[in-house]
Amino acid sequence: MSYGVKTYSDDGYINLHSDYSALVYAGEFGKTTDPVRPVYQGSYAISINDYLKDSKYDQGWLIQYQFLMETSYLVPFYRPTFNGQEVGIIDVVNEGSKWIVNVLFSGAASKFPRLFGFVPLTEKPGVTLAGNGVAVYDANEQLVFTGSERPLRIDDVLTVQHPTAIKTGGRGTCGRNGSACHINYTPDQSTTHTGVTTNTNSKIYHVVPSAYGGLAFSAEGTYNSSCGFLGLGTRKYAWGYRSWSSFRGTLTHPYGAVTHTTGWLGDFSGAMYQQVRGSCGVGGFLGALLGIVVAVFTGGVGLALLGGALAGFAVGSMVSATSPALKAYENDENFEKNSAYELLITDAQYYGIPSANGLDDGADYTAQVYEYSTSPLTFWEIQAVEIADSTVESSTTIYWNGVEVSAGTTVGEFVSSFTAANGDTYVKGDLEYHNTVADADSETITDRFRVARIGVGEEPAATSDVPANVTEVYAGVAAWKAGDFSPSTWWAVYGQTVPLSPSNTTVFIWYNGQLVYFDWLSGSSSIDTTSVTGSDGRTYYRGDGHPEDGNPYGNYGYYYLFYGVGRS
Amino acid sequence: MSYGLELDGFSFNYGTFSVVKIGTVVVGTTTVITKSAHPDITDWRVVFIPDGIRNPGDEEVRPAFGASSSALTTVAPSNVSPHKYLVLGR
Repeated sequence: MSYGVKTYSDDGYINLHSDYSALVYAGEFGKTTDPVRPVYQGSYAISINDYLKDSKYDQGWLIQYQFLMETSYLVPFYRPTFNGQEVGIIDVVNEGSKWIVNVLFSGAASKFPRLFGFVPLTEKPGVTLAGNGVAVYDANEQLVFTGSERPLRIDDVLTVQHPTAIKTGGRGTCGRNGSACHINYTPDQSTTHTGVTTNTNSKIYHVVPSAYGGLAFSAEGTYNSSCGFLGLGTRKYAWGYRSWSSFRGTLTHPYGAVTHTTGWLGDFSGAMYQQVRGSCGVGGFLGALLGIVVAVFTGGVGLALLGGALAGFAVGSMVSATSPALKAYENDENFEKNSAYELLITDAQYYGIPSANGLDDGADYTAQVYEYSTSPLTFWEIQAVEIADSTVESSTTIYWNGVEVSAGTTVGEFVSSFTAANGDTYVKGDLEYHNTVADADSETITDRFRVARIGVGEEPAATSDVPANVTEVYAGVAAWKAGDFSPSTWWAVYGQTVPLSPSNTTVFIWYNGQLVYFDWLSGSSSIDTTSVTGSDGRTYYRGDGHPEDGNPYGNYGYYYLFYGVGRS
Repeated sequence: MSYGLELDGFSFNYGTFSVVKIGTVVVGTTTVITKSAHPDITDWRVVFIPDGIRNPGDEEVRPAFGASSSALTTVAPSNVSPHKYLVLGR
């Protein structure tokens, strides 16, 4: 450049250059469909229930998002909802101002990831300059940088690739009695790529995996059985079995690690079985009956599917197709296994994205309190040893419900929150306990603080009803039991008789120190209720159960069960 | 910060990528970006964004990119699916 401006980052690379546009945060996508797990349901289909989708077909959930912006270029990023979640962006569709993204993800249906868009600043409409700061234009008078649009911060960038196979281990067989038989297609191949930045629950990732493929199994045959008078006749049977699981390339980003794993997750599966029999005789026939399953397979699978499960994925106002394309496989196939592609990593917190790390920005977590020193141990403890007024060593230990959640990790002395390997975040509250033990040479100081735990939608998935994009909080039950109502956040079900049941229970919710729902035995809520509208008009969701606080806890003639709670 | 660029109290000293070139992948063609035309850029990446539904039934492939000491190339084979590309640099 002969004129203009350029700056360099601490790593020695250009980070601002007036010849080039910055890539800036544009906004968050909205979910437009409920997640689905489609299976073949046409002729001769063998039922594949949710358990089988998990255990045999490794099938994930398909979901669609939409973002509105008049721009020709957009780079999507996703934030996994829980530690180890498999995510794959499979389609990006743009028509006019609509951007549609189809995503495949693992976990429960409620654990869908969040999606964000980044666009070149030159492509972003309606950019407003701040009243002060810096604005940089290129030679074409296009705005390429401004302090009011924070550019993409690259925490890490890797080139990644999928393994060349989906599964190499045994998968079993199905034969002539295969009317309820399933092959185990669970992939066993993955590749780990190592970066430099530690994954946390606030990291977001851009990658569009190339790889896709499928595993399939088929078998057919004939057999005879005796029939007729005295069993002297012979009846011929023909049978056919087919099944498959279609896979897309996905990635996982384990918390607390610098690694990223490329693997496979199913997007569509099916199984079918057919048996026909000939007449009782001494000869026969049967050639015409063989291969019927094959004919159904090649001719009717798509039609049997698209009218149903994926109907919501077609955006009516768009000319472009928006439903994910699904393929039924007749044989093992693996495409795009040699393609490499870029994985970009940044941090959602940096862009001021609400609840970027799973915390509810409207809650005062430091006021949340839980029993801190009795069994089960629950506190945030800082111990320091001082010799002659000089601190020589300090350590931080965090216990939750009797478990040292900070084990194996160094927690900074001055940090106010800590995210454990499983993605749960612990927030340091007010000082509750202080003790000094002194001898002739030194003092040992112990400070214990209140602590709150914020589950990020992944406290056992089977029991939490908090959606993936809503923070789940649980704190303050012990304080409430002790008569201090103000710092509580939990969902309780209570009743006057045990066992607690739908017929004798109602719901009682505190959030951030406020009583937001109190159903005085009116019968409009019960132990089976999973969401309610609070007194503030917001929706509250029941989270994971906490039997350690009750199960049930009895007090003044009432019995309580405690749960985490989330609100949207 | 003791040196560098600070904007509204925020130190702009982190790594980022700028958008060097954007375009649409054209089937069967190779796009070449000559590095010497961008002497300040030393780390190059190409991000391909699918443009429409990717149909596994079509056995399509995605575009790829390669780099030499003098140029960056995006390659779109005949069975490539529609994509846009962003050449990122820093």
